[in-house]
Amino acid sequence: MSSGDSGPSSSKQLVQQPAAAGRSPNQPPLLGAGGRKVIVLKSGDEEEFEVDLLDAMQSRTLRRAIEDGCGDGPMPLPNLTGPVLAKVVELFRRHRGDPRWADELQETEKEGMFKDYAPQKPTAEVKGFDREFVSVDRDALFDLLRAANFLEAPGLLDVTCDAAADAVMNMTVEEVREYFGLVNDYTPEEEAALRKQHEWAFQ
Amino acid sequence: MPAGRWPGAQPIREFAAGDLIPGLPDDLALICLARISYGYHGILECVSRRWRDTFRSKEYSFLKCKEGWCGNWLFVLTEQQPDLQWNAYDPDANKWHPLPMMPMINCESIHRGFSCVTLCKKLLVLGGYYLSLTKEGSPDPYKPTVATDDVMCFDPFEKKWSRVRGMRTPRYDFACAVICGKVFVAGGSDSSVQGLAMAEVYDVLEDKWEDLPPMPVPLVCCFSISYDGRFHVIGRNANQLRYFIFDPSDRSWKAVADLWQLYRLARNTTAVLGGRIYAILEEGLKMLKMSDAEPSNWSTLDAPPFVELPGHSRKLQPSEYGFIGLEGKLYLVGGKAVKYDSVAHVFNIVKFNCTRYCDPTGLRVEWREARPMFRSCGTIIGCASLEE
Repeated sequence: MSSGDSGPSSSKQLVQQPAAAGRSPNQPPLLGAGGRKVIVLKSGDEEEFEVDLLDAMQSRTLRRAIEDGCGDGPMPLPNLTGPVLAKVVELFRRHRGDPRWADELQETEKEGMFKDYAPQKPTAEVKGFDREFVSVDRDALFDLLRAANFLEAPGLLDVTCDAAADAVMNMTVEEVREYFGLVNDYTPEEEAALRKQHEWAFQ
Repeated sequence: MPAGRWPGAQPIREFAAGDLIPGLPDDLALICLARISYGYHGILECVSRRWRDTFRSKEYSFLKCKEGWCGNWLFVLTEQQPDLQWNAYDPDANKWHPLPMMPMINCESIHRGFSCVTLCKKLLVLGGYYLSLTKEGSPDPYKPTVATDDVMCFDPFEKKWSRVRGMRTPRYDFACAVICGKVFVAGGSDSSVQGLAMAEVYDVLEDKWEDLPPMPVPLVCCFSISYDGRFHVIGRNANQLRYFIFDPSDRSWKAVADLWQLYRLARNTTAVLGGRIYAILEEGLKMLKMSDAEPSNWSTLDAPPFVELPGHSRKLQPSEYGFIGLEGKLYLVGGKAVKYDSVAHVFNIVKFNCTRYCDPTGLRVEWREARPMFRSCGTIIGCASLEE
């Protein structure tokens, strides 16, 4: 089965074809644009996304599943919602060929899966996309962080953890507490003593 | 589709809620916090007990160390701290923060004549001498100056000082530079009059010192730079300036007859950045590429501006500042100047705490102000930079 579409947003019509669900591991893989293998990811709220195999390999979790031969039917990802998965898939697509996962790929390459793989540094455009990608509110950022953690995707983890770290960097103590919903468990005396000890930080 | 069709998805991990950051698993929250540089820790430790304990935990420093996230540091020791309190500047946070006290010496002494270098994400403070102070806080003239072989090491991950293996020869005012990941040391003074010719090299990974061939003659009051993979040493021998270059590849010293313009360089007015030598000379800030072996190739850059004092008509030019390169920028820290008080008709010494920096590669060198040092000012005794 092949389809001319490869964009992640246009995946639905492809995978809802009944053939996809009943495939056995022996059957030839799904092919996307350019004849490359694609896999289908299914979010917890039953949304499906078609992903280039090369992109999916940015996640160690997905990679393990694919190597275990589970890449032929839709892969259920029950703890990711559709909107989150859509963002993640888009990030993977933008970072195709990112050298952050190049060394891991070399093993797999022996099997001939990635003949056309060429590592390349993220361009300014990709970096701009990354910034945009994480310019979201706290809850959305946490969703992405949890997704990165679950998918074990180093690039995604990098971008999201950096965003979380950046968020608190120029906040006051009170703002940090409010942003993360943390309870101040210091006694007033304790906190005053610590602030005195760290006087340099409050200049 | 039953989950059993996809063994890779099992077991499906529930997101364990942690209390470090509510809503995130603790290990993930720790990764986020580990990306925050040390200049921010003062504020963040005040957030909650859990956060304070986390930033001080072994787990936290181990994770930073594993990922190599040491952050960028400018280490500075100023004259006014007899208790050996180094300060560090974090350019990302634009904050100065004090380091823990150097552990070894009694509080009644000050540390001078040492060298400080950074390598393998550590700060090393080597040799020098300790001056005993009288009760009034001035150096005790009746106590002799004794060189030390002490080498202290500051680990930015653990934020701790430790003593590492001492030099074979105690010395002060010696030449010291990092070449190919090793610390090269030569010359300097001990108790003898003529000084030292001996040289040695330190391997930080093995914590081992090894003797090198000595220099042709002893040199005191040394100045040194690491440049082009070689160890350049300039010092005095019988009141004459001499210049030797040590090449680690054939372990040999070569005397350079022509001092060229290097004799004008001094420890606190010279910085090496991006393969270029920058020096603040009388006539302003100069830049030099050593490969252009012509004195005329010093190019002139915009000098650091004089410092304006409120209520004082004349602008002052500090001396005895710290001058050092970090992340492609030149930093100028502290220093002091003499100010004439026209009302009382007396000269006063003014100590500065300012931090100024510039990018020397731009078309026009523009000096900017960063946050001034925290509770410390005046003559810079030692400074070093560490890049992530």
